[in-house]
Formats: sequence, C-alpha cells, structure tokens
Amino acid sequence: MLILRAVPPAPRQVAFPGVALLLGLADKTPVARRTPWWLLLLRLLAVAALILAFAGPVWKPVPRAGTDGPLLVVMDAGWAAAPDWAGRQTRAERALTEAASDGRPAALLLADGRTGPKPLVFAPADRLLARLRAAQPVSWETALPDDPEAALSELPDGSLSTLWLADGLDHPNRAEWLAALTSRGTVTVVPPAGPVRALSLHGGDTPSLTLISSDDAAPGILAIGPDPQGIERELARLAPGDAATEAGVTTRPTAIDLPPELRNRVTRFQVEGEAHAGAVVLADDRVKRRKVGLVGDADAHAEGQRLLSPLYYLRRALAPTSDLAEGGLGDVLDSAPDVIILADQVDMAEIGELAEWVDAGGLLIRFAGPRMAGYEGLVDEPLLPVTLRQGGRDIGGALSWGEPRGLEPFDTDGPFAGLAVPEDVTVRAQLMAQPLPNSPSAALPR
Amino acid sequence: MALTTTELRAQAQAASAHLPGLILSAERLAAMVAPGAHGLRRAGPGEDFWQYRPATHGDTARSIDWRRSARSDSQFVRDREAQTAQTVALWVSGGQGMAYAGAPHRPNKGARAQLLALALAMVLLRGGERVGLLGQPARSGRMQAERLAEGLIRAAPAKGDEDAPSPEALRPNQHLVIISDFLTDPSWLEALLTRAAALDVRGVLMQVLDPNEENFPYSGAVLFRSLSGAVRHDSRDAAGLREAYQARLAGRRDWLRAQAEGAGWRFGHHTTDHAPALALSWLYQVLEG
Repeated sequence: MLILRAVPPAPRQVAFPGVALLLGLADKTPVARRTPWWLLLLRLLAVAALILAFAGPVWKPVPRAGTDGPLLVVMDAGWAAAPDWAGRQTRAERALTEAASDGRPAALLLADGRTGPKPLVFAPADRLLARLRAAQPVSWETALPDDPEAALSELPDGSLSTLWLADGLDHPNRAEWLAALTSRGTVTVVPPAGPVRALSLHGGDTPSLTLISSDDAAPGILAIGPDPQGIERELARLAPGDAATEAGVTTRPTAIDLPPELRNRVTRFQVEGEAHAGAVVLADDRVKRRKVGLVGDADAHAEGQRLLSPLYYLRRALAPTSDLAEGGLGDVLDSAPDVIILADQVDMAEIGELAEWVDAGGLLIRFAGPRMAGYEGLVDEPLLPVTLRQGGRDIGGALSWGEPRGLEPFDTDGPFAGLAVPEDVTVRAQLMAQPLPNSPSAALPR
Repeated sequence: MALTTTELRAQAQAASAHLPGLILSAERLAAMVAPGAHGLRRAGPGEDFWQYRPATHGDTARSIDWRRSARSDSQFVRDREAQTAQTVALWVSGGQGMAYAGAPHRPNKGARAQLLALALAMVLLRGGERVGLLGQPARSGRMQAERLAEGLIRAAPAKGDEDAPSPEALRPNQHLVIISDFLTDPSWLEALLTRAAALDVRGVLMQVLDPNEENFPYSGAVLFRSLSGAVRHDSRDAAGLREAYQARLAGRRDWLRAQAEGAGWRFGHHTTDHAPALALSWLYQVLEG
C-alpha cells in the first residue's frame, strides 16, 4: 500500500509569506511527474479487487436442507428471548423464506403460553412471515403447550425438520416436546446468543436481591425511582455480591444497602444493560423501611423503669426492621409515621388529631395494660374497635378460678397466619368487650 | 496570536523597561513651532534658565541680563534652554503575510511588529516625545500609549498580502518608523522615500521575519501559497530552491538598505526567534542619532 501512495507524492501545501520571492524559480532536479506503467497496473488490479469485493461474492454457500418435508419453527417467546429477539426473528424468517422457495409447508409455534391445545396448522411458509414479524416476546416465562402429540396430530407427510430457537432456560414440557420432535425428524436447536440474567427479590427483615446469570459477569444493579423533584432516575447502583457457581449458573446475592430515605423511594431494580422483564424487579413493601411511632413510655428516663416499660418488647421486635419514633403523641404525629402504636394509653390530650390521622388512613395499633384496665371512663374511650368493660378479669390469681391458658394456633388465612405460638405464653389478665350484637364482626379473625 | 490591548501593553512595557528615556537629536527642530515638553540641553527658545554667557556681537541690548551684569564688569546674556518636541510616526504593516508564524511556540510577525512599535512608542513617550500612528494625530503623555495599543490592535488587516503606507500621510519634520516584512513588491517605498525627502522626514525601515523565511527549511514537493492565497508557487524539489531563495532575500535586503541610505534613512531586520529587546535597542540607538 505504501507503494501505491508513494509515487508521485502529493505536494504538501505550505503557507509561506515569502512566496513572491520564489516566483519564477525553476526546480533544480525535477522529480518524475508521470506514473510508471507497473504502478498503474497495480492500481487497476486493486480497483478491480475492490469492485469484486463489493459485489458480495459468497464463499462456500451454506448447503440448504435437502428435504422436502414440512418445517416447524419453535420460538421460545418468554422474557429470556427478549434481548436478541430481532436476531431470532431474522433466523426464523430465513428458514421460512427458504421453505417457501422450496414449496414446503411450515408451521410456527410461539411458546408464549397463549397457544391453546389445538393442533398446529401447517401452511405455505410465506403466509407465516407476517405473523412472525408481528410476534413479540412476553414478560413471563416461555411455556410450551402441554400435549405435543395432540399438537402434532395434523402433521403432513414427510420427514419433519424442526428449527428450535431456544432461550437457554429449562421449561415444563420441554423434554416431552424434544422427544416428540426427534422421533419425527431432525431437530436443529439454536442456543441464545448471549448469557441469560435474571433478578429476584427476597423480603424479610433485611430484604436482598439475587442476580442469577449463566455467565460470571457482574453487571451493576440500578435502583430506579423518583428523585426529590419527582423525576424518575437512577437513585443508586448496587454492586453484586460474591458469586457462587453451580452447574453453570452463577448466583450473586446482593444486599440492598441504601439509606432508608433513598430505599423508600425506589420503585424498581434493574440489571444494568439488560432489556427484558426478567432483569426488572418492582420494589414493593418488602423493600420499604417503615417508620413506626411508639407512644406509651412517659418515664423513659427513669432508670428503674426500663424493663417495666410497656414499650420494651415492642422496641426489641420492631427496631431491626423499621425506624422508631418515640415521644408524646403530638411529637409522634408530627414525624409522619406509617403506623402508630399506643401502649396502655387512655384519655390523651391529642386524641382529636389522632382521630383525624386515623380517618385519613393511618394504621393505629393499641395495646391494653393495667392503666387501661383501671381507667374509669373506659366505656367512653374513643378509637377502640369495641367498647371495653372497665376492670377486666384476672385468671390464675388467688381470688380466681381456673388455671391460665395458652393460645390456640392461629388460623392459616388470618393476618397472623404463619406465626408459631410459643408454649410458655399464657393469658393471665384480660380486658373484656361489652357484649354487643356486633362484637364478633369488630374483632379481627385469629 | 490574538492579543488584547492589555496583554500587548504589558509585554511592551516589559520589553522597554530597561531603556532610558530617549531624547532625539534635534538638528532641525529649532524651527518647530510647537512648544516642547522637554529641554534639549542647549541654549535656544524656551522658558527655563539654561546659562549666563558673556554678551557678544549680535546680542541686542534687550537681551542683556542687567542684574547679573551689575555684579561684574562685563555684560551677560541670560540663555534659556531650547525646548521642543519631536514627532514620531509609527506604521506597522497589516498585510496578511504578517499573520504568519513558522512554529506554534513563536509569535507571528504581526504580533512581534506591534510589540516593537508599542515598546518604542513607550520609550519615546517617556522621553516626552509626541508619538502617533501614521495618519493619526501624535500626542505625548502616558495615556497616548493606551491609545496607540488600542490603535495597533484595532487596525484592520489588509485584504491582500500587500500593505503600504500612504505618502500623503507624511507631515514635515516627522520621524517615521516603518515595520514590515518587505516580502511583497516594495515599489511603493521609492515613492514614499522621495516624498519623505521633500518633506524632510527621516526614518527607519525595520524588517521583521520569521526564522522559516530566513532558513527556508522545506524539501520535497511543496505547494507554496501566500497567506491570502493569491500567489502560489508549485515546487517538486523545495530543497533545491533554498540557495536561490536566500540569494533573492539577500538581494531584497541590499536593495532596501540602498534605498534607505540614499534617503538618509536606516534599515534593520529582526527575526521572531530573537529577543525583541535587541531590535528595540537598535531602534533606540538609530532614532537617537
């Protein structure tokens, strides 16, 4: 190539103010201005090679399928097929076009879980192209029809050739379909072009994400939500944790290590660079960290009262998973909590504001206690689901009959379902509801 | 190299800082009508006392200082110091070739020419001279340096490669400093010098060149073009042109020197890789006479 460019050299353009002094000067040793014939020949050959290359010659064209039997194109259409969907469509379209030019009947099976159990209809291949181009991957998993034998019942004569554009995941019925198709002819399986990555969310006290991937790359996980101006943007970027590879599948648990203010704003998590439904997890209540207002500890600073405080167990139970706001009822209301817990509180000054807060949708939980039991105006106390009788009843004391009893197991469909009842919990004191006609419906199911 | 007025002024001040104030020799300035700003260190028309000298033939009786003469036997005349101002006009070429700089670290010729002109003007102004751009009124005082810097920066560049001072702008008894590269056709110089001789204008020709224009460091196939693009020269062997070019450049300089000396002017040259203070000292000495 150097030779092609070297002779004769293109003159360098130089700005030179003294050019007036050069006018009329002749070159001492004139350099050849004419192209030598061999250089011209070389250039002509190069141009000819270029023209040939642009004409698109095919070296060893791909041998076409030599059969004239029907063609079945199976396309996995779940979320895992979404990243390279255009490539899959092109591949399927090429197969259908070939079949159309050979006059072979063809069928298209979109495994998106919406195909009914009816048998596949084989038609001229070019009629399927429009349906293929309109096909879109779905946001759920690939699902193959249940009964391959029934679906293939209207198979035309000839050896079936199958093109299976797989998404790389195992699905129910996959083995049955593969067996049914191999018994009827050749099956060509096209694996996915890139790795498959998915994200899942685990709730609990400390919610976490799990990145599952078929390779060991560690793409970032974006936490997306509205910023303080209300514009949706990337709030944080989580780095996936340590990898554990098992049978080619890499699992990376990822802690959601964000400040509560930021965490409560997250609306979804997304694997960076992945554009399919499996890489997106909507953040729901499991991710949020709630603010709980606790009222009922007037003597918080008296040292002897620490263990006797009605809030002692509430604090221990709630502190790991939520933010606690303690103080008087007015302070707690000002801090805009999600839940307010009143422990053994009666006759409060700010009961009016609390009632407004409850009417506006606030969740109020009240615990009874000795102070409540001894309050004279308990019958008129507002913000109770049922009217309570003053005094209550003690069980197992010196002046009462019967032994304290434990709790029954909770109903499996109630709000407390799944909670194990400890053996050593017994009921020694009780506040009783006024017997009214509507009392059973006002109580929560167990 | 686009300079602002402030930068040009700061650089010129640095270049002219070490030169003493310049007082021009004033052979013919006695006839100048304009009142001067500084003494010429000789007797002449003026206001300040210069010396007492014995009266000689030709002194009128009115010129004798009777108070001094009363203290001795002979008569004394009270001389005053001659005071006048010299006017210096500056002209810097605005041809497009002046915008050339052979290397990125060198200033272009126009910038160097402006710098020399302004530094010279500052030295002259410090000595009380009246300085102006050719065709504009000459004034003295420090503020004139500001106006000169402004005028040098704001001067519109010429459309083509050539730029010449107008002979009509000459005024009698000026000193004229012409700074240019003199690379284009210099035939205007003859007309200018003829008129200058008629008006008794003396001056200096200063040629500012880039080192590339002195050394001609080109070789191979080169298409030379002037900065405006109007003139081109295509060469296939630029290195072979070097000697002929340098001979022509030397010839141009000889011609310029001959022209200048024929008119009583001086000719000097300066390349932009040298310190401007050298050229400034030379200009200073030449104008001092």
